[in-house]
Amino acid sequence: MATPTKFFCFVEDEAEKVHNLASDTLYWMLTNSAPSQSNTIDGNITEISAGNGYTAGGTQASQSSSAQSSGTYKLVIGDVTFTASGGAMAAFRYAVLVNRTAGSAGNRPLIMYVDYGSSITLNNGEAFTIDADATNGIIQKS
Amino acid sequence: MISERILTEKVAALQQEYHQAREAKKPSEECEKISLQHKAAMKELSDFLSKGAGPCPLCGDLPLGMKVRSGVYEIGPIASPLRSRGEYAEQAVENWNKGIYFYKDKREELTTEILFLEQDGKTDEIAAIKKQLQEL
Repeated sequence: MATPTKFFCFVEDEAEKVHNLASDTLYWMLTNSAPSQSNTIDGNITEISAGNGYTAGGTQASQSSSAQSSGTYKLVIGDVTFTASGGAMAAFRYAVLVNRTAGSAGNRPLIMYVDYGSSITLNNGEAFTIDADATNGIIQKS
Repeated sequence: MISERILTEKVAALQQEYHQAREAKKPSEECEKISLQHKAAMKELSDFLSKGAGPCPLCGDLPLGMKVRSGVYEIGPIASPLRSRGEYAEQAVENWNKGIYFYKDKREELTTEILFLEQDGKTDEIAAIKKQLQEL
């Protein structure tokens, strides 16, 4: 997985009980417009159009583990695959991790984004997997 | 009878219950209680997938078990970079117990090898590995 970039707000939101990373519902949302680290909510993100396999809001990333050992915490989430069907999915370059539980639509706090380097178009039947790092976790703190 | 499917469904159901409780702005104590149940269910699933795995030779912790994606299961502890994979959970556990580890790339493999060598105090070999890392 390309190196994720944290949104600035995340570090404060963590400290102020905005997130329960173990149980909150997290979604990967796709966009073709570069996020800014100063973005705070999903309403700041220009999401790709829904359709041809992409559902508005993105796809859920399920937690595999949220735990610490000897003072090292890791949040591990499973991979998420987007598959184009019925036609080409709208082009995207970035995947944004959003906390759906901690706010209503348009006001959901942002966690991080991944830049895949160039715009990706999935033609009908093609798939793209966000390969979250199971070894290091999507978030690691010590 | 307990199965991966049943435990996975239990985890998803509890997470959904928690999400709905938060959306309904239920008291924080109630939400926290559901979250703890959800975490316990995640651990139950992890323990099921990693059943039979021995302790990590680096950190001594028992590994967690997880399904990375369809056809890929991974075993590994939190505090160590060691991981084993398999097409199904039992195969990942078998590989783990045999010391067959999964590395994303050569750099990761060499970095992990250094950890083993540090454990054994093999400083000369560490220097050689570090040189290999520089050349990558």
